[in-house]
Order: sequence, then structure tokens, then C-alpha cells
Amino acid sequence: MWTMGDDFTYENANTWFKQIDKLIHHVNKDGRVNAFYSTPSIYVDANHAENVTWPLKLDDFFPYADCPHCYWTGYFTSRPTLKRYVRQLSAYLQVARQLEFLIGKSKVGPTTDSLEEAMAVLQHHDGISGTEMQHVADDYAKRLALGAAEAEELVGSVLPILLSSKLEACYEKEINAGSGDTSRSPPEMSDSPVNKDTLLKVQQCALLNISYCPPTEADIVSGKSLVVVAYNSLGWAREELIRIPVTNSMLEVKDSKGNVIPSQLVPLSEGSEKVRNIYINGGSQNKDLIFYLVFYASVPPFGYNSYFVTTSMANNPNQARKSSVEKLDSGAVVLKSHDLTLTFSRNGQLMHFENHRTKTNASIEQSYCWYNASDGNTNKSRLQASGAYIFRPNSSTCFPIQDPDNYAPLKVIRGTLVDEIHQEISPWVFQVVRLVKTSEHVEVEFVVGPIPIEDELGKELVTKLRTNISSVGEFYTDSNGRDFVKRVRNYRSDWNYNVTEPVAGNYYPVNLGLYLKDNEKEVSLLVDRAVGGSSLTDGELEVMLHRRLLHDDFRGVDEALNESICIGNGVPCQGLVVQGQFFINIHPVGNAARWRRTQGQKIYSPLQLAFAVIPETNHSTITTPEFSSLIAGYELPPNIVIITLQELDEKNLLLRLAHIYEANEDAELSQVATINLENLFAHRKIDKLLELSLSANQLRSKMKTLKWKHESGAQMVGSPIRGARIKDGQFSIEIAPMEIRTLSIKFKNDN
Amino acid sequence: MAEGMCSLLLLHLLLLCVVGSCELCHAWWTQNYCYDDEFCPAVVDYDTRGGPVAGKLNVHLVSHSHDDVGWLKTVDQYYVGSNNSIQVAAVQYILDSVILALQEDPNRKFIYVEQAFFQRWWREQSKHKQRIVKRLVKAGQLEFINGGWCMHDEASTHYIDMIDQTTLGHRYIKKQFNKVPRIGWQIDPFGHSAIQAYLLGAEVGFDAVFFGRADYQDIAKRRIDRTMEFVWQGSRTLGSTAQILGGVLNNLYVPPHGFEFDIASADPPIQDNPLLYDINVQERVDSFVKLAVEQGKEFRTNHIMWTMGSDFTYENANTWFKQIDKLIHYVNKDGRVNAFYSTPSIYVDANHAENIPWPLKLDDFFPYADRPHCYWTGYFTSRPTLKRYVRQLSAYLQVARQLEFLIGKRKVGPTTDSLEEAMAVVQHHDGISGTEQQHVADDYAKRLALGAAEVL
Repeated sequence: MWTMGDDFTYENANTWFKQIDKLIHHVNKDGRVNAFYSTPSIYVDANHAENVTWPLKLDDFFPYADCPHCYWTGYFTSRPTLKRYVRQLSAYLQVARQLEFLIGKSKVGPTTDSLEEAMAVLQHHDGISGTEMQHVADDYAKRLALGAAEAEELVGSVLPILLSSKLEACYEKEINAGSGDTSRSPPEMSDSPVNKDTLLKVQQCALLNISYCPPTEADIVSGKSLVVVAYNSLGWAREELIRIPVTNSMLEVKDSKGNVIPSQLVPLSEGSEKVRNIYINGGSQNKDLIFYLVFYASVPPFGYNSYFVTTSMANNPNQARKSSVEKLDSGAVVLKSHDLTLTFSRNGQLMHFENHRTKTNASIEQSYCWYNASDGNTNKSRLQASGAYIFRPNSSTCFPIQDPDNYAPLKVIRGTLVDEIHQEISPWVFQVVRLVKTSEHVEVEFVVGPIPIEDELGKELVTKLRTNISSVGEFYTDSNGRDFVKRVRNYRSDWNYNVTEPVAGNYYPVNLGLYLKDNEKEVSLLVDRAVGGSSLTDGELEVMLHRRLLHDDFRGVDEALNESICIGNGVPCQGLVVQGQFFINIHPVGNAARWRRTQGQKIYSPLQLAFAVIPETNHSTITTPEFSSLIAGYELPPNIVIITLQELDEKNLLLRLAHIYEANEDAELSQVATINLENLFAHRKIDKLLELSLSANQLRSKMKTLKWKHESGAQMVGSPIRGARIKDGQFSIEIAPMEIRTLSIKFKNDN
Repeated sequence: MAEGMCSLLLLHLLLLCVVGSCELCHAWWTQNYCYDDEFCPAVVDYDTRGGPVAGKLNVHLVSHSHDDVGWLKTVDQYYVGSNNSIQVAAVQYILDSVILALQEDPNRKFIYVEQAFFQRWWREQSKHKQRIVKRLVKAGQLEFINGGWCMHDEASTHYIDMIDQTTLGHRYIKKQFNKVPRIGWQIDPFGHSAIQAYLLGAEVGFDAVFFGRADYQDIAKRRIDRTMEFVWQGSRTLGSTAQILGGVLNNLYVPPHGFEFDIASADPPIQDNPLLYDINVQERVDSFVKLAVEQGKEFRTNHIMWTMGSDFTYENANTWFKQIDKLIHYVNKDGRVNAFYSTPSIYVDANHAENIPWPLKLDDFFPYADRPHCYWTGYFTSRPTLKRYVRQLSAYLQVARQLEFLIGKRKVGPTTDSLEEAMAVVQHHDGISGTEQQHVADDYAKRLALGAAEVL
């Protein structure tokens, strides 16, 4: 096969076709070889017809290098905030689609279509990869923001209808009125219990990640309740701590049944304040002291629950408890949850991890350091700088961030629900280690940047976890957030690998997380966005969190990856600040998958919060404060998630159910699961069910692909398990480990 | 339903226009509420009709491609598109592409000049394609302008060679299309001779001759005096019996700033699709009108000409015509000026119809300087041996033709045709002028030598 084209060619197709016409004519006239216009399908069919045996390839093709010092592993982390924005909106799109389905896709109002399109554009290999020019990255962000704004409008219009409606009545009405009309409008007929004027005004806070949320920060005056709606797009019930920024410190929280629940006020970390001040206040300090109000939300699967925040009188025992704050610069610090004991050194480094329940006891060190990006002039054979695509540290040394002689004291925050350690590790790296009382993992929130470049050195910042686990060169990284692939340091399974870049050549893409293990323990690190990661020493994991570079790497983008933010108002432009989270856990070997899979899903799909203000005494506007789309008491088994729930045209629902365990990954959960789809739709009756191919463009049963013979046929052991085909008229389906089943569902819409 | 949509739409539009920038609000609106074809002005039927309108400033948009018969590449390399590392240029694709684009809309027009290239192309075309081209010529969509074998130099050419090369091209056009070119188009030569005006202009039957290069001081004054166009009387002897309308083009021979639409152009295309970002229709129209009005002040009538092309442009004619279609549509919708597809003949006829007096120009336009210290007088002598070779073969060609006549032109043996063609090629303003690259000068000499060898 000859690929007769290149980037953006055929703008004048005639120059190609006229010449290819001549080539075909003269080459075939010559007769030594045979040339013709073809397509990959024709080529594949021709190859298949040869009936030969092919070599077998396992795993993947990462990382990629096109010359000895040219590993394309930098882009795994390039533009980390764009990568996070995409991940965040990916989850938000699922939420918006679920709510859109509940009410019916609108013909005139806002839809999820433009967010869907913007997200589709961003998946481009010079989009989310971070290898586009800055002005193009800006355009991508703008597309996402416009799409998200429309989706936000949609979510904001659906939630009040659900909150204010008597759902059963509402759906019945709709079913009765639904005949023939494909544009189901929100249930607001004149005799409906819902009156448009009395609908709640629901607000959302896309900037909660940088502690900014106007509706919660507004003074909650007495006589009013702030309603916090937490939406759970997973099919599992969740009990999780939620955090909202508030300026009022005399508050109490009630659940949807009117019971007071425990709550805690946690001061903002210096890092959070710094980011907030830069991006919200134009560099100046907040006028009001901001706290995080923290409380547990218990949310049913595929639904929501509401919480009510009101002012509280002084000395009221129900009032949100203030955390204790302690500044420490000597001695070790210990944080405890029900099952965990974490020990930190006096400079804030996590030193020891102990889980009493699982009897896991391990020393662990978490730290930050930076690689000095090559400027391209250190190698004689070829000039190669670190750039948007390529990671090339000019040595394997990772320089520590923290000045061992001079660092800011720790701030230890303790409370009834959560403990935190706030730390300024350096002027450009801040960290919060968070231990929720019911949690068995370590949550780390980092604020990195602006990366200083006054020394004219490009820098690539990583965080490292050091343990004494004897991982003998092996570690595992995920494949696009799904399967884990085994990696072996300085080794390739397909060829004799010559190590030229001991750091960059061992970097792999990480979307969900990475881990390593020995015969006793596994240490896992889960991420909130796409990053690059590796294990360069046995027992050690690292992920790259941010990079700021001063040279182009000559792979096409023709710009240095030096992301800067100019907020205006006379504030000088400065390097980008990245805020994010990662999660650390240590398990007895073989027991970690359940946490990685469950927690990974929760990181991807956080509870989506929405806010409204109502009179404190009159909650009657909220008739349905808690809701699940599933039948009462049902939740999906822990190995199954809904990855798509989207109303397509013609009243069809596209539903994808995914098994999130690999074979043999977990003793209990790597098994076939059976789901009765009727359990998922408490308010609808399924009429027809079809199974489609993954991209939903053909019937699964009609999907035909060519079969190929391969050389290693006999070597392959084990027989993969697949879920059984769906029987006609049945709504129960089997999902085997790592299977995704794509379903088209038509509901009955009249009696 | 449409009403409901409208009010919703307006509400959102208003809201957004109050809080956000207009661009944001526009993109927002279209992304959100463009469900119905009525609300999706992405499909526009461009109105490209039109011609002069009395009382308005008429902008004649003349699509053309200036194709040197040798310069940085040899004539055949230019035709084929080889040696593109020197210059990306391929005349074969220009003609392929223009013919297709003209078929797409009967209002589109294009002028073609250099017969050395046109005849190379024509000889490769099927009868079917030739019929299409004949139809386009007949309909006035494709017009031959100048029509000589090349756009000859005017400083180092001998008038007999000028006549010869013009005759060669004109006779082909007459034979193939039964057409007679009406306009001289010496847009690039570096100075203009009296002979060009009265002999290769008036006596050829041209109504006008246009050129791009005149002394910078001369042009500056002509702009002020509105004497960019004039009656040119090049012969002291023949006087008023051999006059022609002469015209200095407004902007060399390229479009006004911002309206160059070739495939690799950096100028902004007209973005009128409301589903996409960065709409610029109003800004482009404003710029068009401003440039036209400025130019109008320097010319005498309500007609001005924009040369919509440049060196070897239109290899992808679609990039030009698609944009000019839009320009015509939106500029005329705006209404401040009137724009349409035109040719130099249509422009000259419109000017003539105005029936106004023109300034008189005598003698010639030598020497040419494009700025202080930059006199284009070196090329009068550049490549003296090539210049002599041409002169020698000019005389030799006459001898050979006389002998050929005495015996009768043969159908199978050697003829004077290839020397005639080689001589016609070399008259080019980057040929005998000596301003071509060395490898091209070598190619010219080779052509002359092969032509001469056949005659020996």
C-alpha cells in the first residue's frame, strides 16, 4: 500500500490525480509491477484472500521514538489543564446526557449536542495531546466552554423540574401525552403540578476546582436555605464528602429528611488561596475569609439527593465545627482515619502508611522534583530539545523542589470529618494531603506553578512515590483508562531494546493510574487527568504533573510549550498554574484492583453539585429532594458501570454498560455479571432492545469482521469469556470482564 | 413554532449580547438554536450576476494569471510543474482548474494571455475538452488578451520579432476560436516602448494597452492628476492615426491589499458561515469598499479595474472564484459600490462609453525605476550574447522563410516552425531581457539552437 497524500494535500486534487493517472498508465504498460487506485478495504481484502499466517502482537505501541534521543513521551503531560478540562467535561457530559434523557431531548432549548461536538473535536491527536499551537489550544478551550455553558443551561433547567415535580404523576402525564409527538417537552402542562414561575433557579459552579462558587459564597441570610443538590451519575449508591466554599462560619446542614448532619469548616489552603486570588481576584486577596464547608452526602445511584444549609445560632451544637489548626515545624505528624494511620516527617513528607483493617504496613515517601528539560544542545548526534511532543531531560537527575534548610511550617488541620496537612513545599509547589475519616486512601491535592524560568531552564515537574516494594523493574499503566498493561523498565517485548534515554524511554501514558507490586504489597497511584508516568527505580512510581519549556522540539508545532496566563487588569502575564489531585493507596497484593476500579470510577465521575436558595421555612417547592432513576433499592453490581446513557433521535436510548474488571484481576469481581435492564428504568417500560456494535452504527449480530491466522495460535492459553447473546424479548444481559455492551432501547410510550 | 423559536432566540441573543462579546454571542446563538434550515444561513446562493451600474463606482474584477514564458524555471518546467523547489508553478493545472471553475458558474470570467502555454495545453486536450473550451470562449467567459506567444520584452526586442511572436499567437486564436484579441496586456515588462503603443497596439487593432510598471515618480503624479489612463500616441509620423488608450494598472497587476486568494495566500477568506467562528463578512466588505473608493479618486470615470491574480496563480482556481463569488454577492448586497466579473475589454468599453476627454501621452515609458536608486536599465545589456544570438537568428529566420516559400512549405520535412516558436518564446520579458536564471538562459539557447538546426 502506498499512501498517496500528506497533511492537507488534495486542496488541488487535480495535481495528484493527473499524475497518478499517468503513473498507473505507464507503470502497467511497463508491466514489471501492477499499480491501481485502491483503498485500505480493498488492500485488506486482498491480503486476507492470500490466506497467510501473520505474526501476533500483544499489548501496545507505547512509547514512540523516532530517533535515539527523541521519545514522544512529553505530550503525555503537555497542557495539563486542558487535559483536566476535557476529563472534567467528559464526566459532565455524561451527567447532562442522563438528565436530558430523563426529561426528553428538547427541540428548541439547550441540548448536549454542542458539548458532544466540542468534546469530539478535542479528542484529536493534536488537541488533548497538547501538541497544538497556543492559539489553537485557546480555541479548543473556547469550544469546550461554549458547549459546557449550553449543557449547564440544560442541567440547570432539568434539575428544578425534577426537584419540584411529583415525578410519578409527571411521567404518567407524559406517557399519556406522548403519542406521536417526538419532541417531548418538559412536563409543564397547565394542570401539571409544575408551574414555570415557581421553578427553582439552580446554579452550578464550574470553577469549584479553584474554590470559586458565587451561590455558596453569598451570605446565607437567616430565613433562607442554601439547597445543595448532589447528582450521582454512577449506578452505585455513594456516600461521599462534599466540599463547598462559604464565607459564613455559622452554618448547619440538614439532609432531605430534615435531620441535622455533621459538618465541618476547613480553612482554604495557601495553594487554593493562591490559585483563587490569581484567577478570580486578579491577583488581590479575598475580601472575605473563605472556608470549605464539608459534609457527607449520601446519594442514590443514577440520581440525586439534596442538602439544606442554613445559618445557625451561636453555641448551637448542630453548627458546623471549626477545624483545629496547628502550625508545626518539628516532630512527626500523624493523621488517622478509621482504618488508616499516616505518618509524616516534619517537612511534610508522607513517610509511613498503615491500614489496620487490611494489616498493611509500609514505609512510603512522597516528594516532588523536576527534570531539567534539554535545550537541544547537549547531544552531538542530534539536536533534540524537550518540547510539546518530546520529553528529553538533559540528565536523569530529578532535582528536589524543597529547600531542606528553609521551608514553610506545616499547617495541620484536624476535624470530625476530615484531617488535612497544608504545605507550601516551595514558592511554586503547594500540597494538601487529605484524609477523610471513613477513607482508606490518601488524597493529595497539588497546586503547581508558575514554574520559574528566570534561570532559563525548562522544567518538567514530577511527583514521586518511593516504597520498599521489590518490583523488579515491573510496573503497570492503564490503557486509556481501562486495561492495565505490564511495563518492564528498559525493556521492550518486541525487539532488543537499546536504552538511549533512561528516563524518557520508560515513560508511559497514564489515564487512570499506575501501580507496582511484589509478593506482599501493591502501591497504586490514581490520577485525575492524562499524565505521563513511570517507575524508574524498583518500588518507585512517578507521574509528571506540569511542564514549562523554552524550546520547540521540531515535530511540527513550531512553538515552545510555555503556557502563560494573562488575566488582564494590569497584572503581568505569568506561567500557568495547575491544580489537581492524585490518590495513593497500598494494599496486600491481589487486593488492590477493587480500590483502583471503584475509586477510579469515582474520580472520573465526581458528584455534580448544583445550588439554589429557598425560604427556610417553606421547602414545599422541593417535592422530590431525593431521586433515583433505578427501581427502588436497586444498584448496579460493583463491577458494572453505565458509560453512556444518551437519548438519540427517534426516541431511542443509547446505553452502554461496561464491566470494569479484567480477567483474574479480582477474585470475586472478575466474573460475568448479569443485569436486568428493567431495573434501570423505574419510570419507563422497555419496548424493544437491540445490541449494537460499539460505535452504534450496526447490529451486533450483523457485525462481520475477517478472521486472520496468526503464527502464535497454539501458544495462546486460556479461553476468553464473553457474555451470552441477548435472547429476543429478554431484557437481561450478561457482561463478561472487560466487555462493553452497546444497547439501543426503545420504550413503550403509550398504553 | 417559528415565532416561539424567534422569541426564545432573541431573548438569548439579547442576554448574551449584553454580557458577552458579540462574537461569543453569535457563535452561541448559532450553536444553540440553529436547528431549522431557515435559521441556518450556512447555505448561501451567491448572486454573481451583474455588470456596470450607472451612478455607482463600478469595480471590474478581472481574474487572470501572469505566467512567465521562462524565468526562474524553463518554459516547459513552468508548464509541467517540475523543479518546484525553485518556484511552485504549474501552468497545466492552472488551465485545467480554470476551465472547471468557469463551467461551475456562467458569470465567472477569466482572461488568458500567453499562447506559448495555452497552445501547450490545448494540444493535450481531448476533442471533448476542446469543445468545452470553445463554448467558454464563445460565451465570453474565457477571453484571450494580448494573445502573443509570450508577453514580450519592450526594451531589447526588435520590432520584427515582436510582430512575429504576436502574429504566431494571434493566428492560432483566430484559427481555433475565430477570435481577435482586443487589448494589450503588458503588465510586467520593465518599461514600455513607443512601438508597443502604436505598432504592437494600435496597428494590431488593440483598443487599449495596460501595464503595471511605470516610474514611481511618474505614477505618483499620475495618481494625483488622475492621468493613470491616457491616450497614447507613440509615433511622431503616424500621429493621431495610430493612437491607443494606455493605462497604468492601480496595483502593479495584483489585487488590492487583503484580496489575494491563491491557495497559499495569507489574506483572509470571506468567512460567512454562522456555524463557524470568526465571521468577517462586514469587515471584508468595508475593506473592499474603502479600497475601491480610494482607487476611484485616482481614476477618471466611475469604472475601476482590480487585477484579481498574480504570478502563476489559479493553479487551484476554486480558491479565487469561490472568494470572488462571495465578494460580489456581499459587496453588491451592501450596495455602496458595484462589483462584477469583468475583462479588460468590458472595462475599456465601459470607459469608452463615458465619452470623456483623456490626457495625451507621447513617446514612451523608459527608463523604469521602481524607487530611488533602482533603475531597471541594466537589463538593456544583460546577457549580450543571448541578445546577439536572437538578433542573428531573427535575420536567419527571414532567410529560411523566403527559401521555404520558394520551394513550398513541406508537410514532412524540416520547416521554419520550430525556429519561429523558439524565437517567439525568447521574446519574453524574462527571456531576451536577460533577467532569467542561468539554467533558463541555457534552455532558451538550446531552443534557439534546435530551431536553427532544423532550418540549416
